[in-house]
Amino acid sequence: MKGVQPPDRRLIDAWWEAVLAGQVDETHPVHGDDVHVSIKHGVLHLAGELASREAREDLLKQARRYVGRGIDDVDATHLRFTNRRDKPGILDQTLIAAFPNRDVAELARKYLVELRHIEPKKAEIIDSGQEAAARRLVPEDFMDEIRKAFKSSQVVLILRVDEVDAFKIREMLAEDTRSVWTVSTPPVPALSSR
Amino acid sequence: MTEPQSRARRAVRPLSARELTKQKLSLPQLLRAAGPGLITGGADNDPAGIATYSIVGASVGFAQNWLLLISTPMLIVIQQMSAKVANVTKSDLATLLRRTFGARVATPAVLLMVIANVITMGADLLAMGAAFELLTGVKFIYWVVPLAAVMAIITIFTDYKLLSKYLLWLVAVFATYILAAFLSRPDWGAVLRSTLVPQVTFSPDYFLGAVGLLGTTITPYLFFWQASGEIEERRGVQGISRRNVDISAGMVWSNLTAFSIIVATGTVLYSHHSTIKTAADAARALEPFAGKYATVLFAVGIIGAGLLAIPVLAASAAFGVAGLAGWRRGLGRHAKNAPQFYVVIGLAFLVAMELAVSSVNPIKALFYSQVLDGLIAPVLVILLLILTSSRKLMGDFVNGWTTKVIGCAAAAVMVLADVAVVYQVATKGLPG
Repeated sequence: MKGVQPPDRRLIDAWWEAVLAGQVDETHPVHGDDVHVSIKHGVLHLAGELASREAREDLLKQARRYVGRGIDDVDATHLRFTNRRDKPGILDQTLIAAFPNRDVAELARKYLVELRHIEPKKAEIIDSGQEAAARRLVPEDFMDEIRKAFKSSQVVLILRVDEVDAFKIREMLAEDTRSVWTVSTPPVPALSSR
Repeated sequence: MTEPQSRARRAVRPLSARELTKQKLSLPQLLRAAGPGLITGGADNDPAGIATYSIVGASVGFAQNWLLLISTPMLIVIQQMSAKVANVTKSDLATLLRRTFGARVATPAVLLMVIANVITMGADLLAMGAAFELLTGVKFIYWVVPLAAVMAIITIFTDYKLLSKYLLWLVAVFATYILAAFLSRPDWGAVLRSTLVPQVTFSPDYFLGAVGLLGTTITPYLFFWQASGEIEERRGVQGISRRNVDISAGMVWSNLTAFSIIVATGTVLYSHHSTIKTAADAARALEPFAGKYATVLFAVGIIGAGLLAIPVLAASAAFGVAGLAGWRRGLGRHAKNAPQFYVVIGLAFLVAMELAVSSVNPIKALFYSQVLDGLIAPVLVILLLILTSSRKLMGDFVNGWTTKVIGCAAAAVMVLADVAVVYQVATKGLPG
């Protein structure tokens, strides 16, 4: 997936160690809730749907390293990958999320960029009162929402991302961070394709 | 401006997002895109749908075939709008309704869909029970609780998406209605006339049938299911052309099956003044094709359709409630990661089971659940039209004129049918 960089290997290793120790509900550092893990009778069962064949192969390779070191076998029958035909680099989408204050917004940005390894084309936190800065990044139609957020002393995190990645990133913003609300503006031609 | 200048300006005009994603599909690509839709389209006819089409055919013959014909483009456009709005906004329908219209509009709209879904689930459970009764002779009511329990477990604890790919083949038996329609030797002149020339009879029977038929064809849970499916699969706007082909193929196939059910039941039952009181009566329409095996074929189809549709009804209700409340949701998620979503699914099963156990007549329950869908659907169609016609939300992907006209026509036809049925029932009472 373009826009997502390989994470620190130590994080992945730590996740595997936690899983093998019994913490099977731990969220994967890259794939999040897309991967479900269970261990039954010494067999590690992987399930879920990953973004690509490569991602599936990579996860399977990592799992097999632990065969004989805590698990007897790996079962990936229910681990699928999405056969996506859409190409990155054609369209962009701007995601806007409101947060109670700058600290919470900064934590969300760090979570997305440093922990979940997304690479937005733009990521800016705009404090209340900086309407002009927001106007440069979002269409005029969405300024009403931003003004309302500013009136409530909230700050907004504005991310410009590839449309292909927008589903996942919007879901993370809405569900994994402390955002008050999240919206996405309609897709527009990508910055690079203009 | 001189001609070369204007040509130069045209040449440098940047392409819009819509133009960048527009695809001309070749014939093999069209066929590949239509394939999954054909299978899914078969699944759109749940037990309540089969019962409603059978009752319509048995009670008014071919008189409402024209309604099925005009509802086909309407259904296609509405499903395409549901898919498009989710792909453009990256939001499911309930979330969008809440954010755009506020809780005062979104909550009743979603709750009406949830109520209709739960009632339909109850009716579908009864239909499956009746199908098991046909196969085993054990009274339908004894099947309701075990069936509800098994399906709740399937929905909550198994990979439903994977399972549904196999269940679709069980529903494929309904394609035999197409053969049954031919083998029943209907008066094709009358079938064609009633399909192309609208006929309206001012009676509660006719309008209840019309609202039920529209409600089971343009059914609210499908809008929510389509939008949530796009989000779960993360399809995106680049595949919109392929999705439109897929949706169109599925909906045409679905309505072709519905048309065949009406023709078969109209020929076998209506022309002999028979009515449908039990599942065995409904199964008789398959006799021209399957002879003495008609009952078995019908029962297998109903069980497959129920297994496929009931989890979808429960999940779309849960998607609606979770979208309103802002909870984590998705059938792809583990129950531990989206507990409230799965609790709503469990509750939907419990209430549906209770309704099914306390209901006395499965066929009536199936039919009236679809009438309720028909009464609710126009509200959601109008809200969907407003959403997809908003340039703010949709940008370059805003509705074109054709979509707007067909969408408005769908809303108008459904509102008119609803007003007519309320008037007819209020003045003449419910049919016996």
